Amino acid sequence: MKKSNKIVVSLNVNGLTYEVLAEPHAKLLEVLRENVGLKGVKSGCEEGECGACAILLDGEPVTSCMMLAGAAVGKEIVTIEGLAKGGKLHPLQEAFMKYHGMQCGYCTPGAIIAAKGLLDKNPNPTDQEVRDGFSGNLCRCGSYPKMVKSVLEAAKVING
Amino acid sequence: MGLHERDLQTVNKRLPLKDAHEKVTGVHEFPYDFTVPGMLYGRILRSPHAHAQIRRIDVSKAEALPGVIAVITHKDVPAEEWIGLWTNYRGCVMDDKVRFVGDEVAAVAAIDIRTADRALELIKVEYDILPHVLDAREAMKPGAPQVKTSGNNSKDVVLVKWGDVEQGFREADVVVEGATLNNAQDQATFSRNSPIASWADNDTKLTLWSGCTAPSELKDAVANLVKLPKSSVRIVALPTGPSLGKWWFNNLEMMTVYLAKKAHRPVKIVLRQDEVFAGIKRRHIEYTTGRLGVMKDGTMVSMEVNDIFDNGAYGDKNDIFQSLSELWPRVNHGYFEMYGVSTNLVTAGCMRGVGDLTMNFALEVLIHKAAEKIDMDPVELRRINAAKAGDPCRGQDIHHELFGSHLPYPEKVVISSCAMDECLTKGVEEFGWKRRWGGWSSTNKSSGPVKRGVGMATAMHVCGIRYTGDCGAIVKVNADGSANLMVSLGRQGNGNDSTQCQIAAEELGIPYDMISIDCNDTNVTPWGQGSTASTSTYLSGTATREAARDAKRKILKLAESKLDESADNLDIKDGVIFSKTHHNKRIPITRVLEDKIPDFWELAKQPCIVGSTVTNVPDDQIPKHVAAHFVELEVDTDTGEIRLLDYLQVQDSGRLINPEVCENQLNGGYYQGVGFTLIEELVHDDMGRILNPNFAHYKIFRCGDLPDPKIHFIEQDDPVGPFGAKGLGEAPICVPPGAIALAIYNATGVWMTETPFTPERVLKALGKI
Ligand code: FES
Ligand code: FES
Repeated sequence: MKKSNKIVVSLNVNGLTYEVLAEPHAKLLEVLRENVGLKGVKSGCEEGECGACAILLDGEPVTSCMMLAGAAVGKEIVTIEGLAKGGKLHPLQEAFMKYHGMQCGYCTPGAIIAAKGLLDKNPNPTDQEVRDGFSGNLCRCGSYPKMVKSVLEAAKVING
Repeated sequence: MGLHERDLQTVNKRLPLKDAHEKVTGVHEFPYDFTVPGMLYGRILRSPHAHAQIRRIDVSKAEALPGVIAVITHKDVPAEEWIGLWTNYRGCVMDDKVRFVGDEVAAVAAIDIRTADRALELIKVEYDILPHVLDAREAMKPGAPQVKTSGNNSKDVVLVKWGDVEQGFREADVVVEGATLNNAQDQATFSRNSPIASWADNDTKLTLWSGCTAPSELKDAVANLVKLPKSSVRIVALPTGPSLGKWWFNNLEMMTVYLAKKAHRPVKIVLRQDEVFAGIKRRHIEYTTGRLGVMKDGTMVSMEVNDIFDNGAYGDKNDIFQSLSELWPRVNHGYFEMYGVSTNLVTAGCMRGVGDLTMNFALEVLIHKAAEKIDMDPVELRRINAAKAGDPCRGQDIHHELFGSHLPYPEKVVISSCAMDECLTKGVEEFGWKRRWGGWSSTNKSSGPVKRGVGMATAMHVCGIRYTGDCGAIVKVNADGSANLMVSLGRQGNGNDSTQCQIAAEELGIPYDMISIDCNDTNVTPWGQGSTASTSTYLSGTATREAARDAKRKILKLAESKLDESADNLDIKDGVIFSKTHHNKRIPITRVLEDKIPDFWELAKQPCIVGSTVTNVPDDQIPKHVAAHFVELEVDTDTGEIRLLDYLQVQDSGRLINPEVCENQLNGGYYQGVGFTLIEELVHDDMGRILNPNFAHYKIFRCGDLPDPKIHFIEQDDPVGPFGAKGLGEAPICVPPGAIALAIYNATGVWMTETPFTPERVLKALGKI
C-alpha cells in the first residue's frame, strides 16, 4: 500500500478551528465541503468562473475552488453557514428571502457571501457598486435585478 | 365568479418562496451535495470520436485497480433502446457504437473520484472510425452516414397547415422571404447533476435521487427499462440548480442505475463541467426559411415556415413546434413544416422555449420585413393580425396525433385567452414607442460609428400540451388545520412549489404558512407532468386546486351538523368555516377535525382529511402565454459590438399567482434570451468536438452586463386556468432575437439572420470584413 502523503491543515472557519487531514494539493473547496462538512459552499464549475464556491478569506470574497487548502492556513474563513448568529439570519439573508433575490438558489450562498464582503467594506453602496460586487458571481437563472435590490435593501437595514 | 370580485388571500400575493430559508442558509441540498451511506463514486469514459464502432474494449486493468468496485460497458446494459415520453432521448444506454464526441463508452464505480478517474485511464478501447455527419441538411441527403440504429436520419415531417399558401401568395400585395440560422445554445449550467442510484432487496427495488425536472416521466422510463413494477422504482427529484431543460433527465440517470446494479452498492456519478457542456444535451441548431404574404392594409394572408433542426446523436424530436401558428391564426393560409434530423453532435433536446425561440425569430423578421414593404409600423401590423380569445388553435392536432390518437378530437379547438393586443398597447405606451420609432426610413444617420436603433417583437408559447397524461394531486388536511400538498413537480427552482401552495391554500381557505408541499418523491406524489413546457402552474395547478376543493368539500360536509347549514352555504377563509349568509355562524376548521380533552392529549375525531384528484384540463380551450418586447440599443459599426440601452417586456400570463416569482422568470428569460441572441454559442470543429465547454469560453451574461428589464403584465383571467393563471416561463426567452434584430436594422440598415449576433457577424453583415 502506498504511504499516505496527507498533511494536517489547520483552518479557522466561521470562528472555529478545524484540524483536517488532506492531500497537499487539495482545494479549499473540497476540504471545506468534505472534511469540515460545510456544503453551503457550492461546487459549481470548479474553474474559477461561476462564484458558487465563494467564501470570505480575511474579509475578501474568493473562489475556494481555485485555492489550495494550505494557502488558507492562518486566515479567517467565513462561509454562508457562518452568517446567521444564534439562529438569527444576517440582514442580507433576510433581504434575499423577502425580495426574492434568487430562483434555483445555486448561486445564492456565493452571491450572499460576495455581498457581505462588499457591505462590510462599503456599507452604503450605489446600485453600480452592488453590480460590480457581483461581477464574480454567475446567476444562470438571471435573478440579478432582484439580487441587487436585496443587497440595497439589506444595506438600509444594516445602516439602521 | 370573476376574480376581481373575489377577495384573494394568498393567490396574487408576493409571498416568500417555501424553500427560501434553505437557499439563503446554504442547506438546500443539490445532487452534488447529497450522499447516502456506503455510496461509491462513478465516472464516465467518453468517446473521442464523432462516430465509431467499438471493436474491442478491455476493462480488466481498470477492474483490477484497488478501490474499483465495478466497471460497466455496453455488455452490461440492455440491448433494447429506451425513449422518454418527450422524445429527448432515443437509444441504448450504451451499445457497440459511439455517435458523438462525448458519447458514453464505459463507467467506473470506485471508492473515490480519484480512483475512478485513474481506472478510466486503464480502459483500453479499440475503435473502427466511421464517417460522421454534423450538419442536419447534409444528414438528410441520401447516402449520408446513418446515425441511429434504425430509421432515417430525418424523422417524418411534422406539418401544421390550413388553406392553400401558394394561392395566398398569389393573392398577396407583397411577399417577403427570409432565412435564419440559429447556432447551438447551451443551458450553460454550473450545477452538475450527479444522480445516485441504490438497489435493494436483491435487486427488486430501486431508488434514484437525481436533479431531474420530470420525476414521473423518469420513473416510467426507468421502470420500463429495468423491468420492475412502477411501485418498486422510486425517484427522488433533488433541486436541480439552473436547468433550462438540461436536467429534465438524460441517459446519465440510466448509466447510474446500471453502474449501481453491477457494483451492488449505491453509486453517484459525478460530472466535470466540460461534460455538462459537451456530454449531455443542448439546444437544437436550426435552419429556418419562410415566406409571408400581406395586403397593403396590413392583413397577413399567407404564411409559410420550413424548419430543419438537428437532434444531435440521441434526440428524437420532430414536434418542437409549439405555438408558432397560434399567434397568427387569422391568416387565411398557413403552412409549417418541421424536420428533426439526427447528426453526430452532442444530443439536442428541450431547452427553454424550444422551437418557439428559433422559429419565431425567423417569422418575426419576416413580419418586420413585410411591415417595411407596406410602410407600416411593425406594432400595427402585429396588432391587426394577432390572435384573440376564441381563435382556432391548430397546432393542437399534432400533439393529438403524437400522443393521443386513441382519444376523440374535439370539433373545435380554440385559444382560451390572448391579450396580445393589450400587451402591444401597454408596451407602446410605457416604452414611448411612438416617440422613439421614427418610421422605416429612420435608419440612424448619425455620422459617428455608434448607431442607435429601436425594435420590438412578439412571441407565444404553450402552457403544457394535452394528451401527455392526466396529473394527480393529493391534499391532506391535518387535525390542526394545516395541510400537506403532494403533486409532482421536481425542484427546478422556478418557484412552482410555492405557487402550488398558494393555489391550494387559496382554495382551501387556510394561510400560506399552514401548508407544506412534497413535490419530488414519486412514492409520495401521484403521477404528474413535472416542471416542463411551462406546464406546472396550469396543469399541475388545476390538479392542485381540484384536490384542495375535494378536501374542502369533505370538511364542509363535516361542518354541516355543527353549524346547522348545508355544505353548499359554507366556505372557509383563514382557517375559519363560515356561513355565507349567517355571519355569526363561524367555527375554526380545527373544531370539525379535532376535539380536545383539557390538559390531556388532542383526540382527533378526523385525524386527517384527504382530498385527491387525477385530472386534466380541457382539450378544446387551450391557454397560451404571450409577450411583446421593446428594445433600444447601440451598434458600434467599427467593432460590431451591440449594447442594450433599454428593454421592456409586457406579458400576458393570465392572473399571476406570485408576482415576485413571475418577475424573476421574466428576468431570467431576458438574460438567457439576450444571451442566445448576442453571445451564446457552442462551437465545434470538423470532428464534432465541442471547443468551448467551459465558462471561460462559453460566456453568459454577468450582473451589470445588461440594463434591468422593465416588466409589465396584462393581468386578465384565463377562463380555464386555476384562478385565471396561465403558463409563464418560456415566452420571455422567445422574443429577444426578433426585437434585437429589428433594432439593429433600425440602427444600421442590415438584417442579422444568424444567431448569436457576435461582433464578427455584425461586421460581416455590415460588409466591413
Ligand atoms: S466553483 Fe469555484 S468558481 Fe465555480
Ligand atoms: S438563482 Fe439559479 S443560478 Fe442564481
